Amino acid sequence: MNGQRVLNHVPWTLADAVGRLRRRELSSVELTRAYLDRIDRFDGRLGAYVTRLDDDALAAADTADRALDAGGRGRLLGVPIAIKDIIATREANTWSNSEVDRPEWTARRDAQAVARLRSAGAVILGKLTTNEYALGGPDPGKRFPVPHNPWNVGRTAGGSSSGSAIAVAAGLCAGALGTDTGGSVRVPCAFNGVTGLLPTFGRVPADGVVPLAWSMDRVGPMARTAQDCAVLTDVLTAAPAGTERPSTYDLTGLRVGIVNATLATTDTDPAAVAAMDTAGAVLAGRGAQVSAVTLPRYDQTVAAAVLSLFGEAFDAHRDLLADHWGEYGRETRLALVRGAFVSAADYTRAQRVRALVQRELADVFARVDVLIMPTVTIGAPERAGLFESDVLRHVHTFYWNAVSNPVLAAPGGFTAERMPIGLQFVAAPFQDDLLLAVGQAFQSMSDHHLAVPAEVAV
Amino acid sequence: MNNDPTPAEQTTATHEVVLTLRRYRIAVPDAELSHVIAAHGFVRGLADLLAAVPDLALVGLGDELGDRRARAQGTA
Repeated sequence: MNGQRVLNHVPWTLADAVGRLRRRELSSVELTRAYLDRIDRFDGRLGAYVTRLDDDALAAADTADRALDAGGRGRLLGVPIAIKDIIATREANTWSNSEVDRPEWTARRDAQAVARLRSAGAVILGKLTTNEYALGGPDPGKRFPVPHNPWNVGRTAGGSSSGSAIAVAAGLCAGALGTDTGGSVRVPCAFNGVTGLLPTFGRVPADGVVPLAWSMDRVGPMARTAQDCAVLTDVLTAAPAGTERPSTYDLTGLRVGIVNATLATTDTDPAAVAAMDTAGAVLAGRGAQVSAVTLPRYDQTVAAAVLSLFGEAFDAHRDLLADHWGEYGRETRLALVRGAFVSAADYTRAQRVRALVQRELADVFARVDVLIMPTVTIGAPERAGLFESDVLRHVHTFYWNAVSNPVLAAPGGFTAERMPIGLQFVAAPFQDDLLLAVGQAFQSMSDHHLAVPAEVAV
Repeated sequence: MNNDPTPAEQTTATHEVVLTLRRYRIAVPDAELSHVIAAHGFVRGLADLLAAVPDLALVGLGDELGDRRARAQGTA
């Protein structure tokens, strides 16, 4: 075990919270207060919350308690959840960590994903910090909190769903929503040692989410375990009531492809390689057939994703950039302006490449059921500007934003400096449930996801 | 082979950057112009990588949609 499994006063996992609330061993008001107390205690140093909704949350918790007393069985009834601050909520403004005035996003309404959480009985605890418009970096000169990695507050928490990963890792909520356009759920999951799902594109509505790149933006759950993410995914995808998931999953005959040969560089952290090898061995030990796989057109697909992202993001921001250049963070505006130089032919070529690769991946997934690959081949580095650092070449998330496949990000180990290392489990489009089941099986045989940073293990 | 841009090419790139920024009414302070020119080079590099992708003649979105419809109707 690489951390301590101690979180006073709050359940270990979201699934545990659901069970204890239903059994009335714990009230939602007690649970909500326990999270608020932990936020009081730790968040000043971690910077996860942009906006706290204490009064609204306690009122919602009281309502949930009465519903539970009456036999209510909403999937998340009384469970405190927090929301990345580019996803609209009715109680508070959506700032996107930006001082650029966008009145349409301060209009208070629920994004569809938030409405689904609320319909299932979730208690919304607050809004979580993000990179500016899910693209730039933390800016100490702005009025928003700068996120810190709970495993080492001098290291980056990753982005852009920084606050979501910190809040889950530090036990400041039972689960969180993030968004992912280039790795924004998966990279923070890797750097903070938590689990998250990039659902198949389109399965979770992005309505009410401040757009970054409309053809790639996805909303995803982030929590301690794959089982927790499954609970959240059922709510976010409006799975029919009564849908039950098996508590165990037979891996016999599961075809697992290990993708690593083309991703390692001379300065890849050995822990990333070990995590891949260990994951393959663990699954093979349960009957999976493991083989090596090379992804088609890796560099070209990443280029198609990045060109698409910048082209679409510039379209979303170009008028605001003209009028508010200086109000954007420096890193954000210099990233956004890249899209000005994406021509129609460039953008069209990128879409053709994406279509081609999606077709070629269908052949890959005819041979394997699940792929495993690293999320980032190093642990969280010291904080630096995303586009000014050398970190991006270690990040292996963009590929999957070019296509529509689901990806589960899960803890896979620790570096020698005790920073988390993350893995990606990937399946064919609409095989999200398979991924969650495989993730659950993997986590039943490993303990990386159980570790808690010493900073908050009280 | 030296792939560094010639002085003439550098001037052309700068010209293209300035015209593009004007087209979008974006005024970039002089102190940041070099970063924006670098951004232009970054995008051109990605575009060149994609321009080299072979086999695209075989990809037709219409064909793909047709395949999907046929499968949905059980005819393929």
